[in-house]
Amino acid sequence: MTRSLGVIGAAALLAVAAAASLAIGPVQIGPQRIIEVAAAAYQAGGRAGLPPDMIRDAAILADIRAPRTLVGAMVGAAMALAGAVMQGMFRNPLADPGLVGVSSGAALAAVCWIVLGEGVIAHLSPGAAALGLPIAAFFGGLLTTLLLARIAMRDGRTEIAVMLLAGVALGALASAGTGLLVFMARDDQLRTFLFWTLGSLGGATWTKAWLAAPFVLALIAAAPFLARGLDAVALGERAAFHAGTDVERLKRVAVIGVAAATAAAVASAGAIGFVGLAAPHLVRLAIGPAHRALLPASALLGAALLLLSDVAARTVAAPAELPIGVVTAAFGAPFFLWLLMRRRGRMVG
Amino acid sequence: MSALRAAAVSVGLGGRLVVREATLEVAPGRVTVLIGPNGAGKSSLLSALAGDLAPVAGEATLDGAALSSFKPAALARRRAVLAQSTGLAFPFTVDEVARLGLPAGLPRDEADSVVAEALAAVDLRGYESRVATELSGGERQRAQIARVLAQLSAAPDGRPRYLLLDEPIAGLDLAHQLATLELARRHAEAGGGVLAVLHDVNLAAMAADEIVAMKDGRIVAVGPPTAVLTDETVRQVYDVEASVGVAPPGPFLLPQTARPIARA
Repeated sequence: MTRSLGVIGAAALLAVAAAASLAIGPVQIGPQRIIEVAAAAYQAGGRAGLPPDMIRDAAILADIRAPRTLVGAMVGAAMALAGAVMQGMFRNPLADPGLVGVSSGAALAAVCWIVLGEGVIAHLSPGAAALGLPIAAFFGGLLTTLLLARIAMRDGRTEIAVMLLAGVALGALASAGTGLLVFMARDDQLRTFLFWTLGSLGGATWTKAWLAAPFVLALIAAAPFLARGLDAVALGERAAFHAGTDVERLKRVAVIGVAAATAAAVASAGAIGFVGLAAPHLVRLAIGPAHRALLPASALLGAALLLLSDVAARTVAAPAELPIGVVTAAFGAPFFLWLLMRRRGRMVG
Repeated sequence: MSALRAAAVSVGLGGRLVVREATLEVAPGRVTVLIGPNGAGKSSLLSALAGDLAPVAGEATLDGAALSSFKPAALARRRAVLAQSTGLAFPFTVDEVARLGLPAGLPRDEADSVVAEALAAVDLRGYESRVATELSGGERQRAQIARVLAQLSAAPDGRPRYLLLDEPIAGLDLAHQLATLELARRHAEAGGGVLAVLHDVNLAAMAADEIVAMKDGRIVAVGPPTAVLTDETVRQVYDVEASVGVAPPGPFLLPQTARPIARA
C-alpha cells in the first residue's frame, strides 16, 4: 500500500517537474498554453499551419524544451536506477556510479572518442559517429564497474572502505586521463570538457534523446527481473544463492545494466553527480528497501530531481546557465555528508 | 532412496584443505549433528553439502546427482540453509525477510500462510512490520530461521527436503534454543533430512539421531550419541579430559568435570 503510494507519488512529482521543465525558461510558456499549442498543432497537422502567435512557442517547445525534458528525464532515471541497482549489488547505500568512478570512466572513454577517435570518426557516417560516443562511454563504464567489483568484492562480501577508496582511485585515474586529454585538446574541444566534467542538458537534441533511449531502456527493462535477486542479495551473496538466486547471472545483468545506463547518462549530459545516490536513498526512507517498488520509484524520482535541478540551473543565474552538476552537487554533497554521519556508527566492518 | 551425500569430499579454502575426504549421508527422517572444535571444517563441509562450496575432490550429491548440476532455484526447492551469521544490508521488515525464502511465482495466499506459519514457529508473530535490523541478535536469528522454514515449506512436491543449519542456536536464549531444535526434529519427523552444526555437546546429544565428530578436517567418529560421546572421543576431538555420564535420555557432559589438556 505504502509502496504503491510511493511509486504514484514519485510519478506525480515527475509530471510536475516535466511541466516545469517545459514551461520555465527565458520565455515562460504556462501549462495551459502548452496544451493549447499542442492541441492546435495536432489539429493543424503540423507546426506550419499554426496561427502566427503560436509558431514561436511551438518552436521553443518542440525544438528546445521537449528534447531537453526528455533527455533530462532519461538521464535522471538512468542515474537513479543505476545507483539503486549498484547499491543493491554492493549491499551498500553509499554506492553510486558517480561516487565510485563509473561515471568518470564513462566520461574518459567518451572524451577519448572525441579527441583520439577523430581519425576514425572521419571515415564513419554521421549516424555511426554519433552512436560511437555512447558506445565508447558504455565500455568505459563497464570496464570501471568490473574493476571496482573485482577489487572491492571478496568471498561475496563488499568491503565498504575498499569500495569507496577504490572508487575514488579509479575516478582519480579516469580524471587524470581526462586531464591529459585536456592538455592535448584544441581550444574548440576544451569547451566540451566542461560539459563532461560538470554536466549539462544544454545540448539536448532529439538525436541525443534517440541515442540515449535504448541504453536507458535496457536497464529499465532489466529492472523487474533484478528486483527479486537484489532483495535476496541483501542477505549476502551466499545466502541469496541458498534462497535460490542465480547470483552470478544477477551480477552480470546488473553490471551491464549499470554500465549501459551510466553510459547513456554520461554520453547525453556529462558526469552529473549525486542523483544516483540521493534518489534511491530518499525512496528507501519513504517506502522501505524492497526493490520491486524501490527501482521504479527511484527511476521516477531521479528523473524528477534532475529536471528540477535543470530548471534551477537555467533560472538561478539567468540569462546565463549554470552547469547542472553544480546544482546537483550543491544539494547532493551535503546530503551525502548527512548520510555518512547518520551511518557513522555502522560504517565499520 | 533420497539422500544428501558427501562422498570422500575435500574442500579447499584459501589454498588450504579444510575438509579431507569426508563421507557423510544426510538421510530423510533423521537429524544429523556435526560437532567438533573451532576450525575442524564443520561449516565447510556443510557448505559443500549446501552446494555453495565446490569440493576440490570427491562429490556432493543430492539423490545421486551432483549438487553443481542443479540450478540455484531448483536446489533451493530441495534444501534450505541457515548460515552461521546472515547479515542484512538494508532495513527490511521481519515479514519481508521471511518472504525472501519463498520461490518466485508462489500464489499470494499460499505465500501469506507459509510466512505466517514460519513466523509463528519462531515465535515472531506480531513482529511482521518491525524492521529486522533493529531487533536484538536473537530475534534477528529467529527471523532468518523463519525465512529458512518458509523456503522449506513453500510449494511442497512430495520429495524430501533438507535443512542445513550452521550453529542455529548460537545467540538464542534457552527456550528458543530448545524450540529451534524441536523445529529440526519436527522437520525430520515429517520426512525431511536435517544436518546441523552445534557446539553444545549436550544439546547435540539430545537433538541428534546421529552425531558426526570432526577434527582437523576429518570425520573421526560417526554414530548415535551414545556411541560417539565417550570419554575417549571427547578427549580426541576436543582435547578435553571429561567423564561423560549417561542418564535415561542419553549421554551428558558436565563442564564442571571437564579439564582442557595441553596438546602435544
